[in-house]
Amino acid sequence: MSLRDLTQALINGSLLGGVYGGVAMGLSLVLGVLRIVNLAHSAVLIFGALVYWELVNGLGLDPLLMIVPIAVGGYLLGLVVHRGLTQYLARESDSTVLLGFFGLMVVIESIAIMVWTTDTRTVNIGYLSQVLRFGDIGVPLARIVAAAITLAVLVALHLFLTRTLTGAAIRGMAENPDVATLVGIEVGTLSRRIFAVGIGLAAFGGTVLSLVQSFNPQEHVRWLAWAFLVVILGGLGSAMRTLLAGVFVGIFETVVGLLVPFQYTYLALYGLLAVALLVRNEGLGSVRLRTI
Amino acid sequence: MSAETEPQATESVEDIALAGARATYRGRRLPSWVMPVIAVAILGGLGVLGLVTDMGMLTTLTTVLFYMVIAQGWNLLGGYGGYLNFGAAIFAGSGAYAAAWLANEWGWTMWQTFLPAGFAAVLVSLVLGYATLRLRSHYFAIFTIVFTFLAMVVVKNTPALGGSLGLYAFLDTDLDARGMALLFYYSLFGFAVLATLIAYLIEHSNFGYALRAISEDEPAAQVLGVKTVSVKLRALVIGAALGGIAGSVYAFQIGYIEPAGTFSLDLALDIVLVCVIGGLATWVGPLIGSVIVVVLEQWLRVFVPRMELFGLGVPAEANRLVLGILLIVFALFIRRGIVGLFVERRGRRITV
Repeated sequence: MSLRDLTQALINGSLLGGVYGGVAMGLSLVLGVLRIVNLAHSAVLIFGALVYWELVNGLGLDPLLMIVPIAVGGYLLGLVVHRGLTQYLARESDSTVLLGFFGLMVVIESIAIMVWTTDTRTVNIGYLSQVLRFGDIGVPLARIVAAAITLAVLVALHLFLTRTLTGAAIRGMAENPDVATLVGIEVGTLSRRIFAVGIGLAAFGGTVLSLVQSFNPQEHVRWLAWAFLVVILGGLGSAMRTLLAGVFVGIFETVVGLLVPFQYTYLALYGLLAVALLVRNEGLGSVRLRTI
Repeated sequence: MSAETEPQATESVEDIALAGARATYRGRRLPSWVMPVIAVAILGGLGVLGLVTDMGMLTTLTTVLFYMVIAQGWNLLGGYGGYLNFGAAIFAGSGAYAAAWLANEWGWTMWQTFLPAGFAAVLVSLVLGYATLRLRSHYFAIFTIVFTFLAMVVVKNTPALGGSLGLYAFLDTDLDARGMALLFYYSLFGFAVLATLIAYLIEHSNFGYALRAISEDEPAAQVLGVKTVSVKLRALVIGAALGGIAGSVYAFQIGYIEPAGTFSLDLALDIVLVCVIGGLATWVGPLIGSVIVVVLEQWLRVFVPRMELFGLGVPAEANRLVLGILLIVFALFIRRGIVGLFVERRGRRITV
């Protein structure tokens, strides 16, 4: 492994990792603030990617502009799901919530396969498909763009959560929903919007992911695993730590990919997940976890 | 210390606690013999039906028994313990692969592979359990999904297990097709009876009460002296052993296994549905549930291809769509399943 390879891997890995941060953010937000494990996260992600694929490849629309309607559509879908499912589960036990969301995952996945079959698809990225050269290091433009968009969204989310009054209210809710109600935060309305934003972020994650990877509705669980890994490493609800964890996973994956054959990078990543679970004894239940 | 009064006092406290537990879990609207009678009727009916039905029906009933064995095992941690496991395929799959591998490499016959298959599933469950059972239940749940995918990737990349090509598992006998089908049927029948017995005994033991205490309020159970991690791990291991054994019969019955089909979430969905429809944390629930789920799936398999929507055929995936919706409906409205509709829980959970 030469120095050039390593530099290339580090650059590509951190860009890919930035995208992973976007893939995981919705899961992290919903888990951190609402304490709901959204098992349907990756199904929504792939669903968003498939609709995006339909708009870009099918209708020939601009890949960058089309990220916006997908994210907004995800938000609206989130509102619908909240009305139909999540609000009834708000005060139920963990296992009831899990059953409901597992059912939702199956429903979304089935619809995706019914409409788009199980083919692996690649978004036609058009003018983004060139590779930029910096000396002897080549970086795909699509990767740079996807990482930059994710960075912008996560920074905006970070500023929203840390600098605005609504952000403070959300952090208060994450800390303790009952006390948040007592001090006059509208927990119900806020929960609905946060859930919708989480689903919107999942759909958004699908679009940026599809800029750098091909995808398949049958294997969406792979992205649930990746998002889960990022969430375990980064903790809950913090946009910046999610981004950092994503970058770490991206670099880890790319560098390990240099050392071992392709199919073993999976195993290395799962090993990392197992270590992360074992080291973080209470999982994400530590004190820092609930702070945004 | 007064030797006469002290033991008596302890005993009475225990009596009160046990009476409370019984009032909570055995409170009923129906007389106490109804559920055992239903269980005996289902198992007895299946025992007789195997001898008299045709081959097509026999295959369906074999699936019922297959689900029964796995679901009874799943229900221990998933139902009583409240730790949902969406990786039922992990244990059945490791059992199936262990059996197929032994049959290929060493020419073992089905009987000989039961123990090793169960053992393989137990080993896998220990790996899974040690990593996740100290965490809260929803991390366990999400990790079981991830682990199913991991198992698939591992097997796909292990040439010794056939890689993505899969493995054949032949049963070397001079039985005819019906004889073989009956052999698989009654093997699974035996294990279904055994699994039901285990579930019944556990439900009425301290181990079962400990599991239910964990599901109600884990920190409180821990404070009261329940060794939560070890109890959960034991429940997982027993369930895994049953799943692994069922998997070994499955491997020989189907004759050919490959990673994507073996380690899929479809089996997990079916098993979860069996327990949720029948009734979580009841020993009769999985019996009723597996009959209902298999009948429903057969009906959908016949019905869905005939259906038309806007003049177009409906893809087979619509089956799973219906199952997913059913799971949501049960999670929202019929949380305690069919058994729960008839058996009233008297004690109420008090939230402070």
